[in-house]
This record gives sequence, structure tokens and C-alpha cells, in this order.
Amino acid sequence: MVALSAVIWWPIVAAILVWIFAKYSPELSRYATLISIVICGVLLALLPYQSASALWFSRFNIHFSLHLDGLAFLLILLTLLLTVLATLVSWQEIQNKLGFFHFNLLLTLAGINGVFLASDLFLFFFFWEAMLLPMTALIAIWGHENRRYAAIKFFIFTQASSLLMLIGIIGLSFLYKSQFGEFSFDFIELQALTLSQSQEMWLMLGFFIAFAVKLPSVPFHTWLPDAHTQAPTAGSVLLAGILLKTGAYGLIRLVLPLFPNASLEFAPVAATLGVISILYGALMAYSQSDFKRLVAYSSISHMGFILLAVFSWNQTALNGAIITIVAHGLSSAALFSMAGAMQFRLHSRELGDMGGLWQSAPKLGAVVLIFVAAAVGLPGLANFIGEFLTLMGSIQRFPLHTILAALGLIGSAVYGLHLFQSAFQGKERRDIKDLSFREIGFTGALILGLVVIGLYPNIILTLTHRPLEQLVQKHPESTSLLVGEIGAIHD
Amino acid sequence: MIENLLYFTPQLLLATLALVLMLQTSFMRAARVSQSICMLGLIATVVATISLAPAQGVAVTSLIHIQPASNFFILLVLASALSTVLLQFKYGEGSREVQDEFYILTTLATLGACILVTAAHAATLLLGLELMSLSILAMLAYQRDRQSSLEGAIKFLILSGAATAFFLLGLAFLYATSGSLTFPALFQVAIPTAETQLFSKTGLFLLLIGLCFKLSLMPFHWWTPDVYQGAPVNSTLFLATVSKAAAFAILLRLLTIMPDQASSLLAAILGGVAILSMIGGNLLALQQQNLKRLFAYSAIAHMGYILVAAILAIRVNDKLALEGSSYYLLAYVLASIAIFSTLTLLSDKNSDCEYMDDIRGLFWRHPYLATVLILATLSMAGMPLTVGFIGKFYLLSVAVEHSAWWLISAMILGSVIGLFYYLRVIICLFNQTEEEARSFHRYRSVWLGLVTLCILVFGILPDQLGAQIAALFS
Repeated sequence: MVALSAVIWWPIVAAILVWIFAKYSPELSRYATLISIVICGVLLALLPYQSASALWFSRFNIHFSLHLDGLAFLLILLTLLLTVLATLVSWQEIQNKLGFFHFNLLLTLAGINGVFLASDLFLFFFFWEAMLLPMTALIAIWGHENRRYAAIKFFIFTQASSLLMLIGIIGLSFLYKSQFGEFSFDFIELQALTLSQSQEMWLMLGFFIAFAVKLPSVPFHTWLPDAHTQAPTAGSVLLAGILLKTGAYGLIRLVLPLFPNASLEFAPVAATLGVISILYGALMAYSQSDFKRLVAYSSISHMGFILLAVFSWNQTALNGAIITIVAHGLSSAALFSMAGAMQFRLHSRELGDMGGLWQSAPKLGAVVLIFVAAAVGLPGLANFIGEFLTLMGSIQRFPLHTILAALGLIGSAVYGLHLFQSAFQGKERRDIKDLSFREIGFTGALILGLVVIGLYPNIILTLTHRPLEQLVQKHPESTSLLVGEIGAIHD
Repeated sequence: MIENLLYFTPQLLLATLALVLMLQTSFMRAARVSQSICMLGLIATVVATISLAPAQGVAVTSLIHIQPASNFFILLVLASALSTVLLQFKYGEGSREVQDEFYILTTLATLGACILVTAAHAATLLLGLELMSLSILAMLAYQRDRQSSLEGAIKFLILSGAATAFFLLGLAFLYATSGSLTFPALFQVAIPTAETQLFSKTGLFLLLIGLCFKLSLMPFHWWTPDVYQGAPVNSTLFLATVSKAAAFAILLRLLTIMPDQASSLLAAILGGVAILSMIGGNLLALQQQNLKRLFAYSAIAHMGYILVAAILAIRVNDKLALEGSSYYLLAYVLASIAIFSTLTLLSDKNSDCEYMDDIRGLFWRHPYLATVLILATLSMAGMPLTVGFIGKFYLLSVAVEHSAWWLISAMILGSVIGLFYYLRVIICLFNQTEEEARSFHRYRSVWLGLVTLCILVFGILPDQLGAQIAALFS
């Protein structure tokens, strides 16, 4: 229990420490933040897959129960990596209130780790809400010109939708009480419920809306461009890299297993929303003139693939969703960190102010080109595998949707190349400093990650194989599905 | 009978305290001494209340009925009173008014509230209500040199008087049909005919109008923002917590003993009042620049939330509903104490700290006070980590249990609107400004820290308190 929960409480302890350190030396605080994240990573690596539980709130039979499996491990690992990235990208950008900045960064980390580990729905909700607070602070305090508006919008969207989920959670628990005689919030126990069709549908919708807002899916996406654009670079990295993924995680971990029949019934609607997100996101991305806003809209497009994959609900598509989660986590975080680096140099995010930057900053240009290629889905890089598996899995279930979704790949090439072209090619307008040693370090690591996953996706898929297999077996018509698809792809 | 009088010790202690304070003031005028005596008396009362908690309901004469839950509400009242008394000395120092009588008034109002909470008879009900209201009136007008203070007090006087008139008329109607002044016989119609039934129902509604006024539920809320704004902020604290907690306690008691024939109509009407308060209160708070007005409207909304649980307790006498409303009331009182105490600490001689601009950038000047304010505001907004979240969880659970979907919808809508202005307050604290920090006395900060710790502990580890509250209603 203590060891498993260390992944949550250690960042909280570290958050307080680095805040204190910042009073003495900013450098110390920066290094301490990095070291504490690394320690958290070591802790995670030492933990075996396990569950732990302790009674927390006996009136409602709520437990403080955590569960670590391959899926949670993968996502926490991604979170830790991106928090390191977030610290590195703010090395020069954040000079003001540094201690409090790192404090919020580490608290966000703790909250997100809690979301991925919780196996009690009340606890899940607790962390789900708690992680919002430091994230909102990051946007509201260190964000750009319109930060307050963006922070409030982000907060209210996610809060409002999660209240619906809270109603759903309470509803499940009371139904459990009426069927089994006592409350339960444990998400394994709740799967034993027998729900009527309408009950299942309504409860599922409560959860679905909360996750669709976080993902985000059209029509719940309007908070995202504002939040991503206004957030400081570290905030954008965490938002795009991790916070969106908590929505995908919720769909995979909670919605499908808890409401299998309703999910199946609702799947066409969700898949349609996914396809609309893919196409709409791509179209909107193309029409942006702000670097960060463009990347933000491209996130909506990529998240559409995840929605389509999850509701196709077979092993291939779910594998695609997982790879997309990781790949998009790395590539969008990378693009946002590059946007931050360019904004730091140019004091502008407008593509109109850029142009011809390759002349003065070829390394920066090359790195951005690789990340753009990843986002576009160039074979050999991670995103390609994710999108390919998604399309391959979903065509069995939604042929028409998949054909339309494939158009999104063309769209992503259009906006990706547009982005690169208007920033780095053409007439040289401004002289900027090329990448520093620190920046080359972390971009190199990100590129390495994208290439490794792109060439050998099994490194991730073996981690999530068991959880996903169990999930596929929960499919109401599971016997009709092909087994062993994962092997077929890697042969 | 006489051994039951033992359970009445808290009220007796408070009455003695009021007498002692009066004597002390007439022999020796020293605000510091009055404050100390008052603090000691209140602490003694707290000890008495905790140690003399009855395991089940105890009747002390036919006028007073002490239930386990009453002591819980009394403790809430005492905590707010303690906070008011503790902060008053420094706060009132700059005023031209002598401060001694403020402590007498606080004691009397607290006594009134404690009697109201345990009332089991029309006479004690009225006595408690009026003792509380009249003492609060004087507290509201205490800083005579401020025009707004007088204006608010007069508004309170007139409207409160009107509400009491309704209340009395309601009691008269009820008495006319039942022939008894004790609860619950007061609400039973002696000779049930169509006419007496109508008469009794009318009486009941007049009675409830009086209570709705005290709880500043819509549409009886008009006085609230003006009075909150006009009053010295320390008195606002008292008004926002003590009078609400006591009035709510008695409302809860009345609702649980309602006769069956009136209950469904009552639930419908109060349901309308609750929905109106939750949505209206939050909407009106949106555009406020004055913090006192903002929290006045937010109090209206909170009373709406808590009324939801009370309504659901009417028919079924549901344990969970009673627990939920108690937990929520606790959350509301704690957060209000923290917010208004911080504002009191930040006020200076000439003017209260009441505008958004006054707290702009507070986090960078006074991280401690700002953190208190942030946590309390988050608790009001019902965010996890704070006691407000557990309160909200209870209320939503109760509402889901009874499938009260209209009320749930209004609660969600209200909370979402509420987030907007709570967040505005919090973000305002983080703005950049160039102001100097001031220093504050340590022991008051310790008290604030204690309240804030309660907000956090009850929010993160709700188990112990949840079990205690559950035991109150078993």
C-alpha cells in the first residue's frame, strides 16, 4: 500500500520541498524537480503489478484502492517522461515564481498518477478533479495574454462534465446497494451489476460526456484551443501529452467494461463523433495562423482516432488507440515544446511572423520537420503505427467511418506541411538562435522514442496486452472476434 | 426532570455569561477583559456541549427537547461565535464605538441560537428566534459612524419584523386548529375538516415563510446582499453562520415532524424555492465586485443546496438526508468562518476589505491568508480535498437515492455557474500587484489555520466525522 501509493504521495512531498528550495536558489529547485521525478520513475520501475486497498470512508464503503497493471504503468511512465520534458522546456521560460511553478507541476503529476492508479470510482473522481486545480493554476498564472479566460473556460468545461460523471458514479453505487445490500465504488465489483437498458445508457452517457470533454471530441472541444494556446509551454505539454489521455484512459478503463451493452449500442454515435473530430480538427488546424493553435486543433483530430478505435472495440483497434495515446503524447508535446522554444526566441506564435527560419536555425528546423512528419503519420514513426492499427481494427466494425477517417491522414499532411513551410521556408525574415545543448538533448530523446515505437511497437503492446485482452473479452459478442491479431501484425 | 436539566447546561452557561458580562461592563469598562471573559465562557460552553451530549432525545420541560443532533448544531454556532469574539477586539479597535457591549450582544445572540436549535414549543421557538435576531440587529448596526451599516440594519429590522409577523400569524393559525403549542401536536389538526385543514396549511406556510426569510431563500432574499454589505464584516460572519445554522436546524426539525397530509405539497413548494435559490443565487453572484455581496448571493445558493436534503427528509425521515444536510451545513459554516475571518483580518480602521481590488495579488503578499481564502472558496465550490466536496457528495447521493432529477439538474447547473465566480475570486488572488505586506497577530492566524485544517482534514479523511454524524441520527 505504502509503496504503491508512493507514486502519488512522493510528488506531493517533493512539490513542497522544491517550493522551499526555490527560496534559496532557482537552479536548485529546477534540479530538485528533475531528480524527484526521476526518483518517482525508479519507484514505479521497482513496483510489481499489484493491487492495494484500505477502507477510506466507511459510511459509503469507499476504499482507497489502487491497482497497477500494464496500462496504468505505461501511462504513468509517459506522464513522468512528459513532466521531465515540461521541467526542461520551462528552464529558461519560467523565471517568475519558480518555486510555486514547480509545486504546481509536481502536484499535477501526483493527481494524474492518482487517476491512472485508482480502482475505486470515488477515488478516481477525487483525483480526476484534484489534478485540475494545479493545472488551472499553471494556465492562469504563467499563461499568455488571455490566460484568465482560458483557465476559467478549461476549468468550467471539465468540472461541469465531471459532475455528470459524479452523478453516474453515485447512481451505480446506489444500484449496487439495491442489488447487493451495501454500497460499493469498486470498479471490479460494480461490473457485476445487472442494469436495465435505459439505466445503462443514461449512466454511460454521464461517464462518456466527462471523458469526451477531456479527450476532447467535437462538440465538446471548444476549451482546448484556448487552453493549449494560452498555457505556458510546460502546461501545453502536460495538457496535450497527458490530460487529454486521461479521457481516453477513462473510456478504455471504465466506460467499456462497466457499460458493455450501452457502449455497443452507442458505438455508432461515438464513432461518428470521432470521425467528425478527425476531419473537423484537421480542417481547423489548416486554417490557423497561430503555431500553438494549429497544433491544438491537430490534437482534436488525433484524438478522434482514439475515439473511433475505442468504440470499435477489438484488439487491433485498441492496440491502435494505445499506440496513438503514446505517440501523440510524445509528438504533440514535442511540437508544443518547439512552439515554446520559438515563442521564446521570436516573442510571437504567429506563422506570419516566421518564415525562412531554416537559414538561421537549421537544427530547430530539422527537429520540427521530424515532429511534423510524426504528426502527419510518416511510416517509421510511432503515430503511423497507431493510425494504421486504428484504421485496420475499425474497418471491421465501421467501414464507412474508417474510409472517411482515412481522409484525415491527408488533412494532417496538408496542415503539417503548411506549418513547416510557413515557419521555416520562404524568404528569411528574422534571425534566431538555434537549439541549445539542453534543447537538443530532450528533442533527441523524443525523436528516439518516436522512432523506436515506430519500428518496434511491441515494446508497448506487450505491456498492455493483458489488460486489453481482458477488455476485449468483456465485449458482449466477444466470441465472434478474432483472437491473436496482435501476433499477426508483428509477423 | 431535574437531572435532564443537566443537558441544558450549555444554554444556562451562556445565560450566565451574558449576566457576568453585563455586570463587568457596569463596574469596569475594559474591552479586553470582556473579550477574555467571553472567550472563556464560550470555551466552557463548548466543553459542556461535548461532554453532556445525550445519547438519545431528552426532554427538558415541555419547552425544550435536546436531541443528539442539536448538540452538533450548537457546536457549529459556538464555533462561529468564538471566531467572531476572537477577531472583534483588533477589528473594532479603530472604531469610535466602545467595544464592550459587542460581546454581550454576541453572547445573547448565541444563546438565542442555542435555544432555537432545541426548541420544542412555540414559545421557545419564538423566544430563541427573536433573541437571536434582535441581538444580531444591534451587531449589524454596531459601527454607527458608517452610513451603510445603519442602512443595512434598518433594512434588516423592517424585513425581519415583517417575517416575524408572518411567523407569529402562522403560529396563531396552527394553534387555532390544533389547540396545542408543543411540537409535534402543534401541527396536528384536532378536528380534521376541509376548513381546518386549509387553516392549518396556511399557518404552516406562513411559518415557513418566516424561516425562509431567516435562511434568505429566494424569493425572500432581498435583504441579504444589502445587509451583508452594510454590516461590519465581523458581524457579517456571525450573521452568515450562526443565524443560518440555527434557522436551518429548526427547519430540519420541523420538517421531520410534519403531518403526512401537508408533506407532498410542502415538498413541492420548498422544491421550487430550492431550485430558485440555487440558480438565482448563483446567477446574481456572477457580476458582483463586492465580496460581501458575492458571498451573500453564494450563501443564498448554498441554502438552496442544503434545502434539497431537508426536502428529501420530509416524508421518509431519511437518515442519509439528515446526515447529508448536517455535513453540508458544517462545510458551509467552516468555509464561511474562514472567508469572513480572513476579510476581517484584512480590514483596517476606515473600511472593510470587501472589494475584489482589495484582495488582488494577495497570494504574493500574504500566502498564508490567501491559502486560507483559496481553500475556503474551493470548499464553497465543492472541489475535492475540501470538506465542501464531501458535503456535495452527500447531497448528490441523497438526491440520487430519491431520484429527484429536477433538483439534481438545478444543483449541477447552480454549481457550474458558481464555479465561475469562485474561480474569479481565486484568480484575483494571484494577480500581480505592487503592495506592501502587513503583519498580523499570531494567535488569530492560528485560529484561521485551525479552521482551514478542519476544511482539509474533513475533506480528505471524512471517515471519522461521517461516522460521528451518522451516529447522531441513528
